[in-house]
Amino acid sequence: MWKTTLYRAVKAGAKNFIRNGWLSIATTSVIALTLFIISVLLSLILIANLVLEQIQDKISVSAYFETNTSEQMISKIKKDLESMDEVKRVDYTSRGDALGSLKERYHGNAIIMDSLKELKENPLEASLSIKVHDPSKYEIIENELVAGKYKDYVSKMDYSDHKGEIEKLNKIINSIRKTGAIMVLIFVIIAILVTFNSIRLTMYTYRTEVEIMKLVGASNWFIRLPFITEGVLYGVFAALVVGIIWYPLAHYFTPFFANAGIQIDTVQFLHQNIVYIVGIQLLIGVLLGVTSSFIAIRRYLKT
Amino acid sequence: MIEYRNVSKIYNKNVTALVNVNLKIKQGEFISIVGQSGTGKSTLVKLLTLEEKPTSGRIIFYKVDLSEITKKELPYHRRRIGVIFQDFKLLITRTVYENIAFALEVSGVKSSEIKKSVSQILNIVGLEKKFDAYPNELSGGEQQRVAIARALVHHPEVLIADEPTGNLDIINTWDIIELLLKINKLGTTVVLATHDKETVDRVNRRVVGIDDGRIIRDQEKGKYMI
Repeated sequence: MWKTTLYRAVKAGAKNFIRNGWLSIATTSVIALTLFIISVLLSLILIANLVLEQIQDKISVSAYFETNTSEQMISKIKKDLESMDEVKRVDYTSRGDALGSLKERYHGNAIIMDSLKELKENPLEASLSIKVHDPSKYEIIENELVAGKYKDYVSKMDYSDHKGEIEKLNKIINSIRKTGAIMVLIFVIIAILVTFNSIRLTMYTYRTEVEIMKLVGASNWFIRLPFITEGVLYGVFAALVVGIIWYPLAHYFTPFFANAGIQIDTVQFLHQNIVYIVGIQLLIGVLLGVTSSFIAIRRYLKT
Repeated sequence: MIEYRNVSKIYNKNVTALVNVNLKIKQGEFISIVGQSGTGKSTLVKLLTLEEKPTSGRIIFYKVDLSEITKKELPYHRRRIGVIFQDFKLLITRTVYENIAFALEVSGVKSSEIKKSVSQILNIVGLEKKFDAYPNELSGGEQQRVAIARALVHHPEVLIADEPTGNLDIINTWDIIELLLKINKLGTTVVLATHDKETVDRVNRRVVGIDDGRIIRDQEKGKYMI
């Protein structure tokens, strides 16, 4: 019997959805708007994160080694560093490489080139350029190298020179993340409240129907199911609408990001994650529609 | 059989709807509950559908004590009763056919049976051609016929009519009353609550008069008198 009941409920819900055309369109639009806001905010967070990561990736500190340190020793230190959890990447620049790039950079500058020729020996030190996952961890690396077991080999680290800038950048990045998260939360709550209220109004128009159905002997679930079906339909259609407008938007914005120096191809990103994106939108849409309908209809079922 | 035993209903300190009502309604009876507006007629019938609960006393409905009916059992109880109202209470977003079918759908009746039963009842109330219309496309009399069809399609033991002709003109009123008499003849108990003298006098069946929440008269084949 429950199969018949379910079938009838779904059918009744779908009929209601079609027959109350304008009301359905209005409610679907509100959910679509909510989904759109949530999607835009989530995308902004994703993009901001990407930008921040790209910026963070440009930060590195270098450790310079006494000129008499052997290459084997440096490569041992490099391995040690690489085995640390905090460390993302370590690049080695030999004394010769450093000199080569210096010459390359200043090959038009006669004074520097002449001074280099005057020197019998390569004056430059070999170095390791170190990148970490979390910029606040540079201090640990510095301590390890300057004060640890390798202190005799390390002549200097440039972290202290950049310490101020790195910390400042870290603070900015963290506050952007925090404010972003709070803003998203506030907007999402507002959007959900608007949706809920809109569905509550829709259900208000059904209150007499609910009363009649109860008098005719319908069980609460028999009354509730068509409304829940309607809620599902609102969600599905809203997700569809947002999915459709999302594509042209992605096309439109990609060049903007490229101009701003952000390496992101929104269209490609959309293509790669389409199942995931549509899935989440469907889930949120349906969840919003169903829970709002469920809660809104509950008060009329109580009487 | 339906029995009210010492039933009182007090809404609040100032509003007492029923006082110590004792009443027996036999199976197959046609009973008119009469009285002016606000005397407690509607409350009396609402106690049967459990839209209201008595403040004190008991109501026995076909051997079931209504005070023992749980929230879960309530829909099943209501399926044993057909109700029609002054304002018809049709589902405005559903067609005539769907409105009537709804009373059977709630009990999980098979679609093929629903189809058969609904066309039969539409023939009885004379609306077979309007099955596809929406309530707002029908006249008041037609809407009440749909309500009657919905109230009867699941063969209830009792049909309760709460001021069923209040919104109708004389011709439609008499049509509806004729229909109720016909239904009663087929074996359904009919409880009619009304303040319409004309109707009661023409029906010429048992009349119970109510005033100020008390039964003041109970006559077989009575007339409307207060």
